[in-house]
Amino acid sequence: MSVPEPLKWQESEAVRNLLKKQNNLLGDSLEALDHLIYLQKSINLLSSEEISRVMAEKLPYILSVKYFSFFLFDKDRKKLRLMSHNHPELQNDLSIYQNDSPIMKEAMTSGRYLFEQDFASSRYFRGRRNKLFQSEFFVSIPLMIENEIIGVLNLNDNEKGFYNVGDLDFALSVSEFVALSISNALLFETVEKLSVTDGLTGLDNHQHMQSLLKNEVIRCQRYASSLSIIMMDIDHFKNVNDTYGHQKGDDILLDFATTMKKFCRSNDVAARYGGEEFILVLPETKVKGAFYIAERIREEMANQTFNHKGKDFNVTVSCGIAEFDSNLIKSPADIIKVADQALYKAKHEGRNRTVIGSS
Amino acid sequence: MKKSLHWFRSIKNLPSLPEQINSVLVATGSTSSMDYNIVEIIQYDPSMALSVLKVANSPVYGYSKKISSLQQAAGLLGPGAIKNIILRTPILERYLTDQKNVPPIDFSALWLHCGITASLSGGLGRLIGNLESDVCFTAGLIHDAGAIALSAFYPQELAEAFEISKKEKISLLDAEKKVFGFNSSEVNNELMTAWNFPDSLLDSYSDSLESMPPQVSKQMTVVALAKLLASEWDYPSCTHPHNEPSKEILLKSLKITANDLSEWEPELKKYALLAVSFLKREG
Repeated sequence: MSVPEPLKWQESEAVRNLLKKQNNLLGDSLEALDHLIYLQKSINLLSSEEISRVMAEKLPYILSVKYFSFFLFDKDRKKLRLMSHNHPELQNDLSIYQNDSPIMKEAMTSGRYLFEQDFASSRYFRGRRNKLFQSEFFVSIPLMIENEIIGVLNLNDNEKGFYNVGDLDFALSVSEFVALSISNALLFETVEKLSVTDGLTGLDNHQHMQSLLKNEVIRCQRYASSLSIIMMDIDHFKNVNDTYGHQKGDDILLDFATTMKKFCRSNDVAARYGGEEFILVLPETKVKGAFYIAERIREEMANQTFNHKGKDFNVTVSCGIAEFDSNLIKSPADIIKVADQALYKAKHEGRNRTVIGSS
Repeated sequence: MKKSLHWFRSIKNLPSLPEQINSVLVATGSTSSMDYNIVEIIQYDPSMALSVLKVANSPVYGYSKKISSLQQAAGLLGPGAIKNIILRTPILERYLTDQKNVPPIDFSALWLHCGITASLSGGLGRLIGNLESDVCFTAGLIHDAGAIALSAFYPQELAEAFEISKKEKISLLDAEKKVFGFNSSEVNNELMTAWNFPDSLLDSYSDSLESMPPQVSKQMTVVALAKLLASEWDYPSCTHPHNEPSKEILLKSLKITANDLSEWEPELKKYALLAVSFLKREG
């Protein structure tokens, strides 16, 4: 039986339209794939700050939205810290409690994305509108690594006025890449920080301090600039440990580190030299300035009262200062030696004092 | 019937001729991307060039409004991404069975005109000096983007504009204005603005040469002269044949003489023939 001409024509027309539709969808998928590959290359970085910058530059276009915000989740403090965004009204250092954002909280607790087409009629924002957004949808996607929530990605507004399922699927794929890259960068930054930090006090460790001091000595030799260091040691620390226990000893070390940091300027380096010995590297500082800082720290510690099982006690520190002298000091070891000798003298002369060393 | 100029901002890409797409796919499919020059393969196709420039100027790559030639785009995107862009190029349907009117456009001739205008623009850019010849080439290639967009998306209305232009003896640009409320030159601008093209490519061929900044104006003048030469050498524009500025004005604006042009003619014709042989071979 032959098919009538009009039916043949209609079918060929329908097939042509279907092929066009297929072609468009394949084209969109290909474009999404290209974007995904390029985004992955762009955010495959070890600095979370750099990743934030790349996200702010590329994410809105790639995800077909006008605005996005990405919050990092601090599990211990239950806080969300804004890491990357392109909202003109959001402050870069915004940090909020998880409970203050019902939508992000829900996305995180359920571990699922939230997608609503109407901002104002959703139960999270009932009756409220954001004048910034012309379209009414919002998407909130929790970013997870091995079932652990690391943050939330929020998407708002676009030119076409709605977000379709295809857009959402793509955003979910992108969020997986973003989660992985951010997680890697944060891990790297933590490890990097730990490698130069003293585990107990959070000050720079001995190795890192040596490297920084070496650079400072080279800089002083080249530019004839000034540099001083202060070596500090907690007096009778062994007695403190023996009398009040090592836990109390650790508390005192932590407290002393906090006091040191309090008097540090932005370019100063506070480090744990070893045991109960500490060092403060003071670039662009003459001996007089170093003496002033040492005395402030010493006095602050001497005036502080510690308590153990209802019994008050005090802890003092001794300080030795050395100033860089280009004629006599040729290496970091030389300047440390001068400060160490001054510290020895301070101990010998009765402790709880500051002595200026001579090269 | 008035259409919205803003609508053109939603266009993802412009269609190309089936034989062009096919020949590019054959060329890119038969050898490794290490062994062919992707720019050489697509350099005479205005629609593919526009798509490549659109992607290269998108915020994804971080060079919005900065990529003004195919060579620059190829360096940024690489052959793999460009091949994917070509795969996404829609096919231009020239013989629409369900349309009563189709514009009297010979698309193969239009592609030839664009390719030759590109070759001559690039050549003139090199010979005149102080111009980036690759940017001149690209500007020449895409100067008819607005006309391609109108013919692909509004063929019936464009056919009507052709009729009005013929009946009322007015330029096609004016006839388009009557039908659409805007003309293909404005569509050109709209597309390139929406696609973040750099200023150097915006409105590559315009009537208002004097209103543009000096360097851009010089480049646009080069494109206008190339377009005129293409028409003189038997490859006219089938979309806008009536509104080209005179050769004397263009030469004066470029500070070159008719003698200079005569001296350059053999070399320019070589460039034009390269485009012809490429496009005709592929076709």
